[in-house]
Amino acid sequence: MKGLSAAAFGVRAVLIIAALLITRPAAAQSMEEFFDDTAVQEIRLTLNSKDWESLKQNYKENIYYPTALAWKGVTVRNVGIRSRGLGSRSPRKPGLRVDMDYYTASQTFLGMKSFVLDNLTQDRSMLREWLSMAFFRRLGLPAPREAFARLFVNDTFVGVYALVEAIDKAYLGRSLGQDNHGGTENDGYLFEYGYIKNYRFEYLGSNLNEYKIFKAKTREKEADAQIWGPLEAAVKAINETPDNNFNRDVSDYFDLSKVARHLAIENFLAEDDGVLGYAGMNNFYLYRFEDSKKMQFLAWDKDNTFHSVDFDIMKRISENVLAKRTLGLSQYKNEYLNTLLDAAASAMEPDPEADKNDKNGKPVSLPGWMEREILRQYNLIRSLARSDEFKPYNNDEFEESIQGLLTFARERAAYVKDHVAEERRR
Amino acid sequence: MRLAVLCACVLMLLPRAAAAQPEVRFPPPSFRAGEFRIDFRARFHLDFRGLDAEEPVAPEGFVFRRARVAIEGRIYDDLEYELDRDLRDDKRPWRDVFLNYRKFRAAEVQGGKFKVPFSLDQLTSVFSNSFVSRSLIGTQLAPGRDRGVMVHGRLAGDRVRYRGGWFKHDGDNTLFTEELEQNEFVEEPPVNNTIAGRVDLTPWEQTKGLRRRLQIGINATSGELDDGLFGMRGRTVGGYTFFAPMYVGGRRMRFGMDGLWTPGPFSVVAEYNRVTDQRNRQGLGDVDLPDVIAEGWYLAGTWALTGERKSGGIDRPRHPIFQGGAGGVEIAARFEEMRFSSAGTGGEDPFTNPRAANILPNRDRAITLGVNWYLNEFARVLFNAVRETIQDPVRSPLADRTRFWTGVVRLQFGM
Repeated sequence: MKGLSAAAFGVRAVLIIAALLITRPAAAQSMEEFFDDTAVQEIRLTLNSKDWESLKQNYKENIYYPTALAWKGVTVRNVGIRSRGLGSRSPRKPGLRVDMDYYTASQTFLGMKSFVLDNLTQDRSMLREWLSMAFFRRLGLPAPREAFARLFVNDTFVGVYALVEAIDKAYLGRSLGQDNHGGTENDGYLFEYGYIKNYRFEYLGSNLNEYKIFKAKTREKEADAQIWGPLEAAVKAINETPDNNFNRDVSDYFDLSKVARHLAIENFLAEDDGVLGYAGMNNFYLYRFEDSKKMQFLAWDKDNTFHSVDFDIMKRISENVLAKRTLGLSQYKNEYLNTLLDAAASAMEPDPEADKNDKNGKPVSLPGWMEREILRQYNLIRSLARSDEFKPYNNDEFEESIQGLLTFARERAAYVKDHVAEERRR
Repeated sequence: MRLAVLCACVLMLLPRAAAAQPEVRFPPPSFRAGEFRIDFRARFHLDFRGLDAEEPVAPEGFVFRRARVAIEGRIYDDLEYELDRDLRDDKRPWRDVFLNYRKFRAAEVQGGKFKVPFSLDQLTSVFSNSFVSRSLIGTQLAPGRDRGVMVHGRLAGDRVRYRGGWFKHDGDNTLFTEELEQNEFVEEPPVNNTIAGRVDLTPWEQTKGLRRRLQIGINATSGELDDGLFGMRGRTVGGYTFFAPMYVGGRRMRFGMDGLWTPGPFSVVAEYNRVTDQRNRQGLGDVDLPDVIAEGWYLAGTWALTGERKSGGIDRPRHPIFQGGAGGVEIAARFEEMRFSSAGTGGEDPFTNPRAANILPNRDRAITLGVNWYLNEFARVLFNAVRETIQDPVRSPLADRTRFWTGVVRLQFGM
């Protein structure tokens, strides 16, 4: 520093600080920022206009198209996109799966191999899925992160979408912690339940092909017996184990406490199309841990939640073999009911930093966590959602649906608490 | 065992009449009525593919590859015709179907379905080829047959032969006859209004000496290329796609040149072909992309060990089998390459996606070694061993290696 004038030193310092400030945004660009739900993200896709028209025309097909993806100044080329969804597929506002590794096996974006652009066509409030996943995580079960985004295709706004973290090995590694050897738990067998019929864990016989409704998403090239054999054995145990051995034997395949917890959270959210869905099981992944027979449900696609405030707390439990026999054991039924109460408390938890009294010192009724989150996201996306001309519902229906969510957030907890107490009195 | 079955087939197909009358040649059956003449022809190929071949490099086993029957002839002196059908092909059974008006030797006019005049290898009948399969470029970069009209003739004392014409599409070699990965199926050929021309020069035709048998050819085509996933596709000898089609649109242009030299029992032939597909507005955001380049070459040589001349000799061996001889034996070798890339990078890294500006190149390099046994003028057996090397391991048909062998034995019978 000797010989350096104060002015020159000052200039250098300013340049260094400026350089640091300039590089900060790049350093901050991470998966966490991508799924930051305190801001609306902006995603830009560039593809050939004929491909975009073809994708919309063939929206029922899983045809991939080459695309360039841009987010916050980062552009990834050689990305594949395709139409996705089941009932949500739309030619006007297609839901999209974005695969970084479709054309180049090793390519990732912020560490992700893929993510989903949910078109929000089945949820008039646009908030159900995002709020459900946040609630699962709040109660300690893994669920994909989500954030809202303006989607531009070839510089044209094509609607408000939800960015949804894909359930893949990266997600498993982040969500499930360490395996038995201290490594990342993501090398087991991942299955996506592919809804095709009214199925509720009945035993389908020893033919493993019957179990391929659980679509293998990892280790697909292994032998069928390796992939689906333990699953068939689990379903057999669920159906055929005598009552007095059920806990011991089926616990080899499922952590029954987590099963009860998953079912309870789905129920609190009045999920009508989940594991206990109206037309059979739907909308979940199943993960079998490394070097183990044990499996766990993973929440997925929760846009049919918030069905009604008075959604029966024991709805369809008797129709699903696993749910019926698990909750038939008092230990797990108790855990189920306790989780419902946890959920009610969590949903109604006031902001710990908010004043509990008004300026006159009188106690005030503070909004719970769920209501606050609905309002926070509603305020964030309202103008954007109203400007989305591609959504298959009008703005009045959007506002009405938001009001329905707020009513649910305010009233569901009380209903659940009352009925848990009633259930315990039986 | 399978080889033994093949050999048995060879013996069964040998014409017995040939044994009875060794000195007599057998012209194809022919019928004449005044100014009308019909010649009947029949040709068959039975292949056994095996050796080191592995799925999906090549399916193993017997294949009744071709069963062609044809009639050809003249109506009066000036009008030639040909009708050629492959009984094994349900989708496109007709091969050559044309009329040729030959009143003026310097300017004959031909119309119908026949080969677009491009590529020496493609224009040489597969029944006269020295190898089981044509070269990669002759099979895949050359157009093949199409419907059109052509003017052709001989000039300068037969030292110049020219062919030039208009064709409805781009030949049947570039049609996609199988479903593509992305469910895109071509109902209509994607190239229209192809103009093609070829000139063959035999400058020393009228002289004596080794130069006499030298022939040089150049050819080119140009056609209108529809927008779509219609780019050239690269396949191995066994049919595995090592280069998937790209989105193209604009014009498809070809250029090629070749040389053939057949001194005595030897032959040397070389050819280079290049296909350029434009990609107007085919990029992301509808930008123009650098052209797709498909190009390749081969160098091949043969030697008739039994001494027959290559040109007009080896197919009629001096000592046919069952006529006191063992037939004619020829050895053959071919070195070839076919590669795919883009004409520029577009400022991007190389990728494999079908709209990549900078296409990640891939190449198939093959060496074919063959022994051809000409039993008599009707039958021959070809033994070929092909070693291929794919440049990009990811697009190789075998997961663990880029080099592989394919072996083919072909029994050919024709009259």
